[in-house]
Amino acid sequence: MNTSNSKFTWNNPPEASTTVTINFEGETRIVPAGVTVAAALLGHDDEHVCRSAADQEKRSPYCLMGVCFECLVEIDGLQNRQACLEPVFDGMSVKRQDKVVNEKK
Amino acid sequence: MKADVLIVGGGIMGCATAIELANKGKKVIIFEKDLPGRHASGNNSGGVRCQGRDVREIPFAVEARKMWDHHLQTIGSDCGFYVSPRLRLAESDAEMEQLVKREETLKSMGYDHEVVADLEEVRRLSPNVADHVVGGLACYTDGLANPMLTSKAYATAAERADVQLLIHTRVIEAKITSNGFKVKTSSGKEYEGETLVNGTGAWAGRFSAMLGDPLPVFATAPTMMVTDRMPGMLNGTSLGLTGRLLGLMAVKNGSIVVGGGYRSPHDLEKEKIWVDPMQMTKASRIMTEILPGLKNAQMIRCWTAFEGCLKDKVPVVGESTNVPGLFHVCGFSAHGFQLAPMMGRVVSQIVIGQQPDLPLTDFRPDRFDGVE
Amino acid sequence: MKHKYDVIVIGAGPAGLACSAELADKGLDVAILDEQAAPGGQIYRNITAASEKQLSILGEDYAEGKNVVKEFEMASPDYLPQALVWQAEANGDVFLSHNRASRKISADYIVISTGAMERPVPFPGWTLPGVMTCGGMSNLFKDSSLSPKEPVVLAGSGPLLWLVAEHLFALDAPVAAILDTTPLGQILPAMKHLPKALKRFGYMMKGVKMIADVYRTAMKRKAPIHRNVKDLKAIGEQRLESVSATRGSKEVSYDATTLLVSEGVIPNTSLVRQIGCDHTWDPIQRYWHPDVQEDGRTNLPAVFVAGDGHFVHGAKSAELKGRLTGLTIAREMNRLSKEEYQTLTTPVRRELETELLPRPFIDALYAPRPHLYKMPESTLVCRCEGVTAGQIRDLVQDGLTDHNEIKAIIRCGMGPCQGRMCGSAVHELIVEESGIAPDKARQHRLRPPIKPVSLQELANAELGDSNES
Repeated sequence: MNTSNSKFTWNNPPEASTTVTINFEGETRIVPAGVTVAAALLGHDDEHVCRSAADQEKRSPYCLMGVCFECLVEIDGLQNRQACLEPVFDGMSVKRQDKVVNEKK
Repeated sequence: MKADVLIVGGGIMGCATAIELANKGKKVIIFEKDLPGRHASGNNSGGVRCQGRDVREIPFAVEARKMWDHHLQTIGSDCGFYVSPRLRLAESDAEMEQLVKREETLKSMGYDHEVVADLEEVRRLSPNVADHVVGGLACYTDGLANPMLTSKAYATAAERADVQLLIHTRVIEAKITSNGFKVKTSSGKEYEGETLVNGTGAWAGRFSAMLGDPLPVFATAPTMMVTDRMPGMLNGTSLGLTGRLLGLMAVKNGSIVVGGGYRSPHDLEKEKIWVDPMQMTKASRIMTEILPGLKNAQMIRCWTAFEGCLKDKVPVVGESTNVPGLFHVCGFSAHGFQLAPMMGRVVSQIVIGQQPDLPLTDFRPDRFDGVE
Repeated sequence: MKHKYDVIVIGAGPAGLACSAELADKGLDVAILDEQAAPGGQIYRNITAASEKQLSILGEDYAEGKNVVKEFEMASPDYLPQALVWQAEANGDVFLSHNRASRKISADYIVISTGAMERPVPFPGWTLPGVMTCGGMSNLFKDSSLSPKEPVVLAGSGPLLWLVAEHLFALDAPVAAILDTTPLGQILPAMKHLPKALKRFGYMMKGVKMIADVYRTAMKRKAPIHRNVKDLKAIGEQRLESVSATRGSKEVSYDATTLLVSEGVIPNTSLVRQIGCDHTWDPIQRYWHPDVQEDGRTNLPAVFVAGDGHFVHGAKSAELKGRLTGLTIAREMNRLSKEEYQTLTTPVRRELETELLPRPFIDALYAPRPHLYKMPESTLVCRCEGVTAGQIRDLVQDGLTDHNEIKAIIRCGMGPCQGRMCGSAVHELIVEESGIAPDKARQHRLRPPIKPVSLQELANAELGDSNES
């Protein structure tokens, strides 16, 4: 579950603890129960979490306490959820907010 | 200190009037109790709209609209203006009938800026509107501007034209003298002028009462809201409704500014406004009905500003009948922003005794006399 | 959750927990609302479910949270986790979002105990993925037991920097370097507060020992510690690749995939500002904080503020301030006699006084350094709207010195975070460019909803009677 390119390591090995299964961008991921969505993403690989709505640059969690809005994801169809405030639960579907938009006008 | 004209209120009406007067060689002083653009001038929804206006305002709005194209030359800033066609939607056949009539009325007056849009045209302009919409009335020349930028640009242009703009200076006393007016400010200084312009927005009634010329201007707190960026949702077209409160401004960055008649409770004395969350609920309901795709949008922020309103929802522009030499330009009832350049011009004309470019009879200050 | 309470406490960190426990204990009907899924706030985050490993790394100060939570659980106020308060009014109305539904609840009193946040300081590259705050790292470990497994650089100034460094060493994280940005020049002015601070000798020695331990471990692991560091830069294309800084005339540079920054802690004032509390500028720590008396009172009779959300004094002080606030409201609501109030509050006040002894020293030593906001023109200041330092400076030079006007013109602070991330920096840029005294430059307004709410949710909300006049 800890794919090699994540920059982080789990200190409570998830094998040893209870896990939940979430769906991320259509793929199944097994993550430790009780962790936040932000941690589930950071602990899995090294992809950015979202893109800035203003300049489309890649962004990832900065404050991890609900202040910076740099970890916005879509959870179960609802956009703009702060990944650092949402604990994972079984069957949760998460998508990164990654749209590169060329705004008309 | 003496001047030809004393202007109370440094909003866009006061500054627009001042610029025109200064260009006509008059010495002008503006008294602004806070900063230019602190209230409605700088904090409105930014709509530069002819569409849907009271027909009495149409001639002024059409002239003003031309002036918006030349702001860079006239005041040195484009004010962040850009065209965003404004589409007023009909949600029923009865509403559509109203819009058709409106087009006819305007045509009979010689105006063709508002055109009936059939369903196909509505969908072309605004592909995401709900299925129940039956048609609309489009004004292709309407647009949006940045109100704060506009207010600041007007204030800067006034100063450049040698208008003396006194900020953080409240007029605490105003008197009629044998040869004009005398005002005393919060800094304790006195100023004299031959004529006086009342551009005090929400405070216009109070100010005018100081001079014994009561005006039935009352304060309201228009409440604007803004969503996160929903690129493509409005397709660059701003929306209005015919039978319900709502104005949706298609901001360039993709966010949607909501205006169109929401109000919050306020205390004018303390200059305090409490954003009423019910306004957000009401607006959200209508918004998601009109644009179902907005369900996933977010309300990011509300803001409010003090505005002066009148019962008949058109402003008071003209010389007081009770106090000669006192000129009112106020009570724009939450739609003065677009009119500012034209109002500045006509007020400057009547202040120096010229015939205004357009007749101001509909906006006479004495039209409420004897009316309950 | 009911519609009406005696008191609504917002924030379940040490202050909120202690306050709500006191209130419930005195028989008052209390609701406590919190954004997180479990009680503890940032400092005691996940304390109720922390593993042995987490507890051993985080030490006794963290474990103290167990006692605070235990007392809270015994008193059992009405606790609503994962509740986002998006507006509160001085009349006692609180609007919140929970489970994707918004509603209104009301109380006679509101206690705001929303704690503190790290001072956001823009620097080149701070928006790159891989850059986060020390507190953020600490949170990742507390609730998810994550730690960096690739080279990590810590940079900044203040106790949190050292605390996180200590934890990372204990977790065998590959610390590449520690860049201490505290200017040497700040040591001397802090010294005058030292005698007072040393009255709490044990506490002070704990801090000294922590830093000494970090130095020792760093030397053992060959992780350099640089002092008096300036011009921090995060460098990378798609994510952080390296960190550079200057030290005197020398540039230092380290490859790293994580950069943890900490430039001090400031009160999280979003809600107190939205509700309308008066604020004061603190010239030492350079932040706005609500005007709050020791017993939690503000300028608004029904609104109390407790904990670090008033002034950053740390977890223990926050708990004591929460307790004092709880007792004061209980007295206000006639649940305590004057004598009982005296008896109960005197030891709390005394303990708080002792607790605060080292603060002037710490606040002066770790005051924001003079060049903190001298970032290059191209540095992004407003992350949400992509506004640079240069754009802001240009407007100030054009004569605009009102934060709200600058915001309205170039949009800094208009995004979803509503200026939480750029507010301090914009304020400092205005002050620096205009020469206006920092306490005279107006703060930007925070408008409801203080955090975004979906239109769907608002459309479905039953907010009860409108407060329309």
